[in-house]
Amino acid sequence: MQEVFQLLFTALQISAVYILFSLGLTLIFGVLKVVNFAHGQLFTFGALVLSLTMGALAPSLGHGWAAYLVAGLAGLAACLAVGLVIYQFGFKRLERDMTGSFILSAGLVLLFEGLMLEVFGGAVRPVPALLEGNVQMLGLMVSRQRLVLLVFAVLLTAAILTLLRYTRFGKALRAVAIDYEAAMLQGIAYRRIALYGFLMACALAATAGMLIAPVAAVTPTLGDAYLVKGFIAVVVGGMGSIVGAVAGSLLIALLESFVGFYFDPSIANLAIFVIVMVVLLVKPKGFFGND
Amino acid sequence: MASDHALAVRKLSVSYGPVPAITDVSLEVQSGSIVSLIGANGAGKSTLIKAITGLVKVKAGEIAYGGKPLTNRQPNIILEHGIALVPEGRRLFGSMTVRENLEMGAYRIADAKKKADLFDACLHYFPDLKVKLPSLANSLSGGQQQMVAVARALMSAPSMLLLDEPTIGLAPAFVNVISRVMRDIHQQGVTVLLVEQNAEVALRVSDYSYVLESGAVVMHGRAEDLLHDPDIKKAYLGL
Repeated sequence: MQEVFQLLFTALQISAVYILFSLGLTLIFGVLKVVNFAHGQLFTFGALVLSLTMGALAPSLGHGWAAYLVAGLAGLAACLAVGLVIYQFGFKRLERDMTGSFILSAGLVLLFEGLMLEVFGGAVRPVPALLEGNVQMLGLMVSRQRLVLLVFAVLLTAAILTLLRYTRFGKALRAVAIDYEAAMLQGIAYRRIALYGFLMACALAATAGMLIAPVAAVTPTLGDAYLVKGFIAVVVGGMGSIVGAVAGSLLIALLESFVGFYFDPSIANLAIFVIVMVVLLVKPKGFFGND
Repeated sequence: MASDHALAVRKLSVSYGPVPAITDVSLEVQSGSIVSLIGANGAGKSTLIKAITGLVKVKAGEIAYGGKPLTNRQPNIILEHGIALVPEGRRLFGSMTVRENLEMGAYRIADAKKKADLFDACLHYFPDLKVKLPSLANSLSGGQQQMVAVARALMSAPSMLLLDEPTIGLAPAFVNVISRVMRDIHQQGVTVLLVEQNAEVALRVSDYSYVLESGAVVMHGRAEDLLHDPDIKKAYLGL
C-alpha cells in the first residue's frame, strides 16, 4: 500500500509539470490552431536562464528564496521576450497553417537548440536545491523541495483553469478557440487575444522548466522529453481541450511511474506509445476532443 | 444621400480565388427599415452579408454605415459601429453555456447595468431560454440554438441587425418566434437586413427587398410590390 501511495505521489508530481506544459500547447493550439513544436525549447530556456541567474546571484543573495524569485522573474522575462519575437515575426503570419507552422517550429527547435548549446554549453548546469530534507506525510517520505514544487504547480494550474473558466479574458480565449470568426463578430479583438494566449503559453513553459530545474539535469536538451510527453498528453486528451490536457498529463504520468516501477522505464515509454495508438484508433480526437 | 445609420453598399465585388461570388452589387438600407435579400442557393446572399460584416475580403467597391466607410474592416470593428450579425448556421460557442454565449455577445459593453438590462431584454424576447441558461449551447435543439444566436447578437445593443437565413430548417413555431422578435426589435428602431431563401417569409416581414441572381442584383423594390410581381411569383414563390 505504502508503495502505491509513493508511486501516486511521484505520478502527481510529474504530471504537474506535464500539465503546465500541455496547457501551454493547448492554449497555442486553441488561439492559432497550430502546434508549436518549439515549446520545449522555451521550457529549456527558462531552466537555463534560471540556472545562469542563480549562479550570478549566488555571491550576493546566496541560494535562498530571494535568489529563486529574482532568477525566476529573469527566466520568465527572457522567455516572454523570445515568445514575443517568435509570435510577431513567425506564428502571427502562420495562424491556421499547419504545414507552415510545422516547418517554422521544427526550424526553431534546431535554431534554439544550436544557440543554447553555443551559449550555455552542453554540460549539466546544476540548480541548487531550494530546500533540504524530507517530510513525513501520510506515511510517505517526501522531499521538501518536491513538495513545494508540486504545491506551486498545482496552485498555478488551478489559477490558470480559474482564469479560463471565469474571467472575461478567459471566456474570450475559449470563444476564439471554438470559432474565431464568431468570436470576432461579438467584438472580440482576435489578434490581441491570440497574442496574449501565446505569451501565456510561453510563460507556462518557462515556469514549468524552472520548477523542474532544481530536481533535473539542466542541459540544452532538457525540454525534448517533455515536449514528446506533453504532446502525447494533448493528443490523448484531445487537441484543444483544457480538461483533456489535464487528464492526458495525469494518465501519462501514472503510466510512467507505475509501469516504470513494476516493469521498467523503457516498458513505460512503450506503454505510453501503445496507449496513443489505441486512443487514436478508438477515439481519433482524443478523450475530450469534440470541438 | 444616406441618412444617419443607413447602410450603403456601392458596386461591391467579392471573389473566392478566381471565382467571382458577387459582382457590382449596390444596395441601400434606410435606417429603421426591414430590408430582405432573396435569391436561390449560391446567388451570393451570404457572401454579401459576410462582406458587410468583414468576414470575407472585398475586391472592389465600398461599404459605408451612417456615412462612415467600413470596407474591409475587421468584424470586431464593424460590430463597434453597431452592426451585429446572426450568422448562417448560428455558430454558437457550443461547449460554452447559454449564459456564457450571451455574455460574449455583450463583450464590448463595459457598463454592468446596461449589460444586465440587455440580458433581461433578451430573456423577455425568448422566455424559453431562461431555464436553459446553465446548459451547454450544443445540447439545445436547433430552434433553441437559433434563439440563442439572435439573443447573442442583440446583447451587443446593435443599431442594425443582419440575419443570415435565421429560419432555415426550423419548425413553424420557431419561425413565428423569430419573425415576431424581428418585428419587435424593428419597432424599437433597430434596422434589419434579412437574408432568406424562403422568399415568402422574407417579403411578408420586410419593407423593401433585393433579388440576387448569380451574384448580381436583378430586381429590387417595395416588398409588397415584389410579392405581387408575376416573375417573382413564378421564380421564388412557386405560384
